[in-house]
Amino acid sequence: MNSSLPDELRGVMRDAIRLEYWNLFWTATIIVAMGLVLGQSQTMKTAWVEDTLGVVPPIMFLIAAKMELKGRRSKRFPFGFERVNGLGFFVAAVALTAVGLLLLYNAVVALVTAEHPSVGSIVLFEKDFWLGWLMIAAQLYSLVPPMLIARKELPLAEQLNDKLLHTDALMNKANWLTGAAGLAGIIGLGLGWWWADSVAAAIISLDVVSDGVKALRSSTAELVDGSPRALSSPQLSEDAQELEYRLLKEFPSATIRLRETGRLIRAEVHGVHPPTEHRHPRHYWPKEKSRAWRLAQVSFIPPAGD
Amino acid sequence: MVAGTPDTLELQRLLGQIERQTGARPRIAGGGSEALLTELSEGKTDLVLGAFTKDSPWKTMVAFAPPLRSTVSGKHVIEVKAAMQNGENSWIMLVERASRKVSQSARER
Repeated sequence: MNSSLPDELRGVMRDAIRLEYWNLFWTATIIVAMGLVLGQSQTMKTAWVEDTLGVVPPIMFLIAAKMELKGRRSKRFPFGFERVNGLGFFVAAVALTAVGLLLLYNAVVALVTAEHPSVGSIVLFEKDFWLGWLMIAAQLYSLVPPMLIARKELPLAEQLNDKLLHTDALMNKANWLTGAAGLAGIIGLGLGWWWADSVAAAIISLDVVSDGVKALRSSTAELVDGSPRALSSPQLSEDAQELEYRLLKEFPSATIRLRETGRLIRAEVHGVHPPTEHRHPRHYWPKEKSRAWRLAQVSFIPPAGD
Repeated sequence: MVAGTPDTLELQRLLGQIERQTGARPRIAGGGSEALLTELSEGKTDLVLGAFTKDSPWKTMVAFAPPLRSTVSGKHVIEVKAAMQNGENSWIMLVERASRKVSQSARER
């Protein structure tokens, strides 16, 4: 194995790459459908930007996955590219948070200045249609592909322990909330409630900011060598806590330090001598052996003065 | 009605169409486009009819109906069209429909 991806993950990774290409394709169809009927609605613009932003995690995942699969360890990159995924996760988190805040600002300004969005009509098949009906149709369409993709993404993300893929899956899964807010905004406009549009846009942007902040907390924790975090939240990972318990059981006087490089965990056992027999790091994995690839390194640092 | 707007057949037809659909009688006043569009955006006027450039800076502040007639003047396209207050969506829809009914140019938009 000369690339940074554990061998047992190569097949699952290929499945995930294929799924993410489909994800990009369906997201592109949503971006086009929504873009065609945007009008002046703040809700539609916000939902459209959110959908457009939705391509960032799959693109970052695809770049990271290609580098993990094909990138070889070298003199310049002796650890391969196992942290590229973490970097991609960070980039996606920054993009999400920044754009979410911008959208929230726009929605609040529209609400405070009492902007009344106009939704006019267009001619289709020689008939006048209120553009709002097309907006509702586009919003309904935008709900379907993300939900189907999220169902397929989640198990792959868990198998790969991939936070980027997992965040994307959760965002897709929660897309119904955005869709419901968007639909309420457009229907509200149709009923003459000008403020419904801005309120819906604010709700959608708050959702984007919340996703972004969660992802930012997890991704920065990894970049500053924080303890491994759970897949879907900034809480400590259960795997890592069990590993720490397992190591402390064998080396009770040691101090255990764990960190995460991409999907892999690296452990440092301070204050004790290594065991005399040779052991592969996977030997220390406390849970099911099929997931032992998660533990890439166990280093022992003897007590000072030895 | 914006001062200097050509008194076209389409404009008269548009007013007649709106009159028939709403049962309302128009009270027409003239003036400069800035003053009239400002009144419109403040809700003091229901409709402004005039010749505006296609890329009018007012296009985000008021809602323009499809053009009844277009002419090219140098680099600009001048469109004779109706403007309504933003957010008055059923009124906007009514004027847009009426514009399409009375003008081939509006139907093609």
